[in-house]
Amino acid sequence: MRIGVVVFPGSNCDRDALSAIELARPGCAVAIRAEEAELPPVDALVLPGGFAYGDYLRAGALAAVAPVMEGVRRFADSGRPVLGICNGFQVLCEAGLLPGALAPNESGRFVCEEVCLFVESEATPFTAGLGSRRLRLPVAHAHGRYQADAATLDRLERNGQVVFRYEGQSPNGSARRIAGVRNERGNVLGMMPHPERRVEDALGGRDGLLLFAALLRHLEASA
Amino acid sequence: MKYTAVVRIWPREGVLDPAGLAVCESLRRLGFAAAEVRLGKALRLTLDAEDEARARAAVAEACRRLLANPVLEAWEIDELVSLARSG
Repeated sequence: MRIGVVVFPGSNCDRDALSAIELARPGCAVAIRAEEAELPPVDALVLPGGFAYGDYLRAGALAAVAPVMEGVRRFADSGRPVLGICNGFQVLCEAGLLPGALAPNESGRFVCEEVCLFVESEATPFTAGLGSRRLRLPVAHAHGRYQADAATLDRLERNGQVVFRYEGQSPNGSARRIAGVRNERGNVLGMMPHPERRVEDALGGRDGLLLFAALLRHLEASA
Repeated sequence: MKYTAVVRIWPREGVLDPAGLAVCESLRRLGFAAAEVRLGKALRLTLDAEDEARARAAVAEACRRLLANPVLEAWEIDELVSLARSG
């Protein structure tokens, strides 16, 4: 079983993602460079946080047209699991693999704090079995305000595509306090909070590990 | 033919623009009666095209595919001029 982490120039949470995966299942994390046009054989993909290509033009905009993204698109279209974390979420939105966009925070400031999330959809490989839980995870971003037009937001709510919602006030002014969304099929998930930063007690908790454990259960069941 | 285009990209109407608000606030502090500032960006790009219509179409396509995000931004081609052949 292999889980790939795409490393863009400017990614800075790729190591964290790789080691979170290694913690969940030793020996299965694989780094993939963004310049690779062909994906190696993997069973799931993670697009990590950071500032891919300097976030020039818009956060995630240049990464969305990186060579690796053709392969990521085919991988997603084939129904296999793809998780975008923070900058990875921005990349998936810019690539059109997820609806909506991430705008600058309402406050105009970078936010770095712990948030509490409701898990509102179990219909992803990363959240299956977590529906009753509230997760405590950190956010660290300047462009995390989820935006889409009202019709799209209504459709997402109706389809259960809102996967994570901030409890209480959203840290960035997100529409409907949305912290993470999935595509219609459920195999592609994007989220602003960082599960890879909460995978051992020494890091402040292990709620993030639940997502990687859920992914491994999903991959085992479908193997 | 070489053409040069200036593209302006703006936060769409109704989309909150925190950077524009911050600039507006600072202008007021300096005593300017600024009512609103929208902070966009401008790009100047030079491209080869057979004629002006094709150049304009290519720039529009670039805006749709990469330069602007339609969820958040509106764009316009501000000027498009042909450059005399050089060298």
